[in-house]
Amino acid sequence: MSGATVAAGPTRVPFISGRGTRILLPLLLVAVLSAAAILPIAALLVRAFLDRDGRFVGLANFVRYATEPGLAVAAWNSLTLSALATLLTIGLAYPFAYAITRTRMPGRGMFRLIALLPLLAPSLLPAFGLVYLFGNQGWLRGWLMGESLYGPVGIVLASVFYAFPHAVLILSAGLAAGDQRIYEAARALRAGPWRRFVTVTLPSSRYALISAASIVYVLVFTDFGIPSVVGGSTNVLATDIYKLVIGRFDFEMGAVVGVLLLAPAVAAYLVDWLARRSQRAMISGRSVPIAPERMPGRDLALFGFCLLVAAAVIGIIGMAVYGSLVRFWPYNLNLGLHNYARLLEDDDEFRAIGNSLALAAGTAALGTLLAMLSGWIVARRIGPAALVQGLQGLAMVPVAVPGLVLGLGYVFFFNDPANPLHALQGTLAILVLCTVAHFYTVPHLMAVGELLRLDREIDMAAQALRAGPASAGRRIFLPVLAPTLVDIAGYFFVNAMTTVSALIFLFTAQTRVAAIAVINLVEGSRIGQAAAFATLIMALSIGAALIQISLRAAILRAQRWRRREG
Amino acid sequence: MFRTFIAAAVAGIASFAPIAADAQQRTLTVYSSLDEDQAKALIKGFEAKHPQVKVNAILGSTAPIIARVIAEAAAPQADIIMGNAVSALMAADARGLLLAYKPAQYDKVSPVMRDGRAEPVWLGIDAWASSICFNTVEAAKKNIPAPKSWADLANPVYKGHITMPSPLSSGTALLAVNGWLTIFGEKGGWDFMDKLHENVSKYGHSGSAPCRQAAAGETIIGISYATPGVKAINEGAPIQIILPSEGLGWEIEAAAIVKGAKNLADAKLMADWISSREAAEISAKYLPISAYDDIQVLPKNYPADEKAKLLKMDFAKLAASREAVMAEWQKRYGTKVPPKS
Repeated sequence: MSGATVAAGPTRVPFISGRGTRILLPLLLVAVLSAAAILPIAALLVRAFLDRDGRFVGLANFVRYATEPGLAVAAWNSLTLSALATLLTIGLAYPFAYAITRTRMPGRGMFRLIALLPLLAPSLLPAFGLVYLFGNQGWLRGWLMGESLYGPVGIVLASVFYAFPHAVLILSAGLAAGDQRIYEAARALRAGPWRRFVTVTLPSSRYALISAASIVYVLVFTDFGIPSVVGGSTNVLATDIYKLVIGRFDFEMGAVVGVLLLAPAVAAYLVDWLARRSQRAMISGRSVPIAPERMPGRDLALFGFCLLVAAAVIGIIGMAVYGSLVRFWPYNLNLGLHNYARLLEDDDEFRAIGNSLALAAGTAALGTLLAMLSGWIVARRIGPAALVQGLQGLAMVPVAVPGLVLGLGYVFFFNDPANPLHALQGTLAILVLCTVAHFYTVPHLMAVGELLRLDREIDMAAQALRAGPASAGRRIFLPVLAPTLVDIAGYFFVNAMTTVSALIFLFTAQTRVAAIAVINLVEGSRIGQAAAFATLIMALSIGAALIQISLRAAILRAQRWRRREG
Repeated sequence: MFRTFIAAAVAGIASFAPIAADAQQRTLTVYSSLDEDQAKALIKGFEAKHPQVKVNAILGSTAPIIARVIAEAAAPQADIIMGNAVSALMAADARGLLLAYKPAQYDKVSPVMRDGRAEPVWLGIDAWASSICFNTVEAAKKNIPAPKSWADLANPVYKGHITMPSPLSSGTALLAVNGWLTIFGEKGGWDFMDKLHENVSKYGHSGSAPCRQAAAGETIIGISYATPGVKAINEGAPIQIILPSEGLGWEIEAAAIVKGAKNLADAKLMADWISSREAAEISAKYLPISAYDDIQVLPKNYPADEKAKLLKMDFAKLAASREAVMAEWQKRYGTKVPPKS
């Protein structure tokens, strides 16, 4: 791999040549990430070491928590169910991502969109969908062979559904790029398709595979929504934090659980660090983009597989949408739009949709900018090693922090009158900042992954062309990175449309968003209207995703250099 | 409609900037866990009386609202909490976050709905009581009889068909548990819960969820409170609300001013409004027990005898034993997984 030849030696990045800038830029990112994520999270988690009056008590709260009955069971459930869900998710997502990036089967764009559906739907929809399909009145409850949905079965099923798009995103980003010359070399050496897959594809996607698995594990480990809806009486650590903080107002013990929930993220960070150390650039200046070959047998098999996965995703969501169209599930199945009609009578719900769109747009803009910058600093090791490593560590924290911890941490941090950012309290801007922080890890990893694959010869080309900062950005980096930028913006946008857990502590009458309105409807027992509103949110997110996909396609079409000429 | 939408989007973008205090109109920030329609009706009534005050309402579930108030202690955002469980309000009061205030009509409110202390912190708005949501269609399919009493729920015929919230995360569950401890006594209460535990398929986090699960046929019996059952019946669910014969654990939803409220004068106006007979008449349309004893309105499909079945409860004692009850519950039922249905 030619990338290896430039992996060693000092990094030379064209427009970050001054020593000052090389330290200032990573410092700036560390400061922004600290203010938006780390300090607020710490503002809550530090309480693990304090008593209610704020006096330092060492590990007393941990000891108190360790003596709580039921902890061992909850910890064991969390560890094993997350592992099982991770195995299943990666097992499904890898062939799926492979099929949409490395084959010529039909419908690849469609399948990509369907894989993203779980991300586009407020979590209420899959929860309803699973209950309507596999619950006690479910049409397909026989498929569970007498097992109840409520318990480990439900947790694993719902977790796989929830984590699947994250895994597909990371894996397909990793599989999309590669160097066709290596495959040609392999073929010249008479390596068969299977051998080419095992010796070339699999090793070159190792980093993506490790990232995807650790992200999925951490996501499932820290998620509270799924076990609380379909977990039955199966206790997991993530629900403990809700019981302690919300049920008993015991912020100190809640903080203890929050600290414990960070453990898998620390492990994921170490794994990622080891993996990244051995990762070399996959695309050099001389690379030839992957041109998947037509292999009818493989393509047909994968098409069938993708069709099955798509049917499952659409089946679950479709069932919930169906639920929004009936009069009263499961006793009055007359179809109609009455739930939608009742919803649209309310001006407040319209304001909530406007707020959601503003939140999503703001999150996409700010998040993309920050994630690209931090991804670039980490991938190119700009600045002192400790600073770069620190930045990577900070970026891994948000994924491990439940929204509840982030939201309450925001209140503790920003609502402190001594904080210069106190004025943000109560604005939509604070919701934007919180949402960027909440979903930061995956886009950051997407950016790092993409930049690691583009080797530094491209940076050097910019330098050789004596491109100034502005023109290097515009003429070289922006075009090369445009598809990734669009993907990252899309990821932030759709997550911002559906997120709830952190925002319930931060919204005001003026900044109430649609996903919170859905929760209010559920609490008010307006199930049909809640399903209808969640469906509307999903429709808007699908619209955004379609824009994202066509934009991406238009960019790729316009950039002829991505295709092999002649 | 479309215009509202555009206006909303513009307002959304505008609200990126900190909201400047409007010189013309005063604002009041209200946190509420009342039923959404009830909260909106009460606010509408207040704004009609005080057109110079614009109410900004933040509606949410009982516990998250109080958690938010506790977290915001450094610089309180709420001026007044208009409706939250008294037990949850006491958690905020214990941290010194609420302001004592005696609303204008305090003395006219029925005694049980008053704080009772010399410097009252809360004022009752309504009360809610634990009850059973029973799905008649699913019960008939499985040939399961309707329970008449709490004691009936210990019958093995209900094995796997009961859901209830966990008292560790739901005030509604605590109502039921406190009710059982009042009815059966300390030992008898826990003995009953041991037997009930054998029949429970799921302990959840939300007080209204068991009723919704019963309405959707996911369970036959949901231990909850009447309002979500009434709503489900109004939507067409085959739900019967059963008020067990031994009596019902219950609790008051009350209003309290937040200490450090930025708009204290208007918060007091709101507290005065809540203490008025007019406001109680609005609340009575949603829950039969309001702040004025003599207002007798029964919301549509609401069980008629709820008020008569309320247990005589020692709230001070129950508040003092809250932590101990939770710990005991966690020890008995938090560790082992209940039997599968």
